[in-house]
Amino acid sequence: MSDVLEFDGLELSYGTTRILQGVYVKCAVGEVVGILGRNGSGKSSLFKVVFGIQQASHRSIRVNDRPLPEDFIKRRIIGYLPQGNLVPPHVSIRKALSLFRVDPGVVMNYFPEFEEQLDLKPDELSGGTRRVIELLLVLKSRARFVMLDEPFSGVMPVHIEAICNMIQDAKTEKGIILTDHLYRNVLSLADRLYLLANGSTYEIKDHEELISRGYLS
Amino acid sequence: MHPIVVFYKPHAIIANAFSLFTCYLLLSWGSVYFVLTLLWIKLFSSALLGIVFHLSRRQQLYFYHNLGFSTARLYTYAASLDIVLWVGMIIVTVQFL
Repeated sequence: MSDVLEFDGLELSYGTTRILQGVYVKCAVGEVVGILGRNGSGKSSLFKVVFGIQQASHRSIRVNDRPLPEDFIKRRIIGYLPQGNLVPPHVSIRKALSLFRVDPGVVMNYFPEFEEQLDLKPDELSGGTRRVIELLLVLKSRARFVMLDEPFSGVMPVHIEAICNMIQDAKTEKGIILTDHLYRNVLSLADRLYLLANGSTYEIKDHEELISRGYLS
Repeated sequence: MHPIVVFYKPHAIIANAFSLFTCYLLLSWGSVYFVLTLLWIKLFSSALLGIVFHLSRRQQLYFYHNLGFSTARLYTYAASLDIVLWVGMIIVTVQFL
């Protein structure tokens, strides 16, 4: 039986504004779970709460029905690609790959044109190239589950196709939760789909539901 | 290179420049009895540097979290490394008193 990550009971407020209140997400290894939502619906906050970098008044996160251990970061159970930059500006791409124990050959397999850029610092790369490499770092990390916040952001179409292949390849050994405004890519990848609206998640079964719930017109 | 060393690197110049300054103070004051005072000054400066980093570059911590280092572990190890380097400098300085 494959490992399963579940979270619910998350409560997060900014002042008097309730951001998250009725969330339930389930992701098994071998699955891609898509989370869609309008701007400001709380998608990034949801990921930050699950990753433990944002405090919530309540949260219940479980792996195989057991509460996520306190030292889950040390045990690298969950990986996280933030919406902003991941690799610090003073760390070269080759160094970052080495720290994540990712063979540079893996980058070459998907993106042969990146070979000359491996010794550059992140700020010397285009935004799209940087995003692709950061995504690859997280997908190839040791974590059994990864959360990807806008992995397609700033990436050109030909690389988006390669990213989709990377995600499909990675899901054989990971559970992947992703959110992005390029919803067609999310729809094409997701085995399970949730819409985050009014602080709560709704499992989406078909395209019509996205319209009826106001995500698409 | 270990992730902690990579994390410490951007602070290394300022932190070690301050450590050298405390060594200079020790030489100026001319007595080993001031080491404890200098330790407190060093600890205060390291804490200040950590706070400035945390407030200005918090986003960079995600990289290290993905490598298995929580915020608390990162700062603890980096501060320990800083103090070990400072102690080494002080030991060398004491030889010249």
